[in-house]
Amino acid sequence: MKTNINLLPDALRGRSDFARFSNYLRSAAIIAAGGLIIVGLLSGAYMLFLTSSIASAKSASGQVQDQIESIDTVEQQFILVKDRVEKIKPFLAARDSGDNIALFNSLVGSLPAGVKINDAEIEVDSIQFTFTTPDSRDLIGVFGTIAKGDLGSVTIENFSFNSTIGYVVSVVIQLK
Amino acid sequence: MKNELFENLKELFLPLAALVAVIVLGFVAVPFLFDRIGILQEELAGVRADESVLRSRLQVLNGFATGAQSTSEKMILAFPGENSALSTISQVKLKAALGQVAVSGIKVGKGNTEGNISYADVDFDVQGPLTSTLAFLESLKKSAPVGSVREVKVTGIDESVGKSTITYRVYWSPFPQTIPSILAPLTDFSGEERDIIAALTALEVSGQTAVTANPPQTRTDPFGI
Repeated sequence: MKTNINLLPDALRGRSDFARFSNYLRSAAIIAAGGLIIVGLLSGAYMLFLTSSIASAKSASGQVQDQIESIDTVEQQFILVKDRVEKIKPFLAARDSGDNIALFNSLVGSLPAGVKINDAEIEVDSIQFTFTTPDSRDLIGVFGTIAKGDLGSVTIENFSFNSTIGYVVSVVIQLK
Repeated sequence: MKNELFENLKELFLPLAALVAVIVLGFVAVPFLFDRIGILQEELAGVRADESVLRSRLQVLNGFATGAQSTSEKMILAFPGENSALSTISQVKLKAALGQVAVSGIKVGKGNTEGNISYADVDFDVQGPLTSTLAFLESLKKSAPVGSVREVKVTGIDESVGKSTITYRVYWSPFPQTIPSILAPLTDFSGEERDIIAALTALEVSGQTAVTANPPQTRTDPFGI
């Protein structure tokens, strides 16, 4: 039977494959462990930084919160005013009949001299009035004045003639 | 030969075991660390966001602080928390006296609610020329509490003394009962809202203009004696 005998001293003897592989594994384990330690140290340092930042931010928030609580009366007044404004806003934006009165007054002032306004009803979206005139030419003048105003649609509700007072006309203007 | 193989395997075992242990530790520890870092980053972002909201809130309140008391009181008078019909009637009488028109037949309609705002119609008759009635209504609209003219029926326009029947709507709404959380964003007033505040705080409150009572008139003898 053949026996492998190596008479060379260990130092000169070549490393076996197993030994080489063992060294590679050892090196890999050391590198991996080193990498893991570095990652762990860096992560730990970053977590410490984050924790410190959180504490600092909470402290700053606490100070601001204290300042807000010291002016709680102002805060209540602000909320109250904000509430009032938000609730009344849509109603203030709506048309007001009061604006239409000035419009009607201006219209009346522009009518021909012979025209007499008997009565009027002024609402949010419309103006209704009745007028009389003995002269048919004044009718043209009235409708011409209304048309100039570009007020909206005009409907003649009533048109009649009275031998004493002349023409009696009821008009409804639907405002734009 | 068997011994040599066993020796070789023994030599491989320790470094292999160490490497496997490090790899397993890495697979367990690294995700845990990153997960923990993620949680801390989220918490920091949240705390900073809260701080930003609080600073913004403080800035808005500091900007409002000057004149806050006066503004809020005037807003309460302009848009009260309870039925404002009585205050309006007071203003109607005051403005009529100042505008030299006669007011009569004052009636208050039933209160209605639309959403979170209530209103009631105050009906009254005004005797006087249309121009005076117009001026009276303009001055009434500039008075607190806030209101709007809903309808005007005018008769006798060309006569020196005409008559108008007016429907004037007044508004009110209950005050807020709670304040939003301190961490809820607080937005400052917009330009449009500031205009509304300016308009409402400018409304004249009854009692600011004194109305002197007429002195007793000498009664003429109806029988001419």
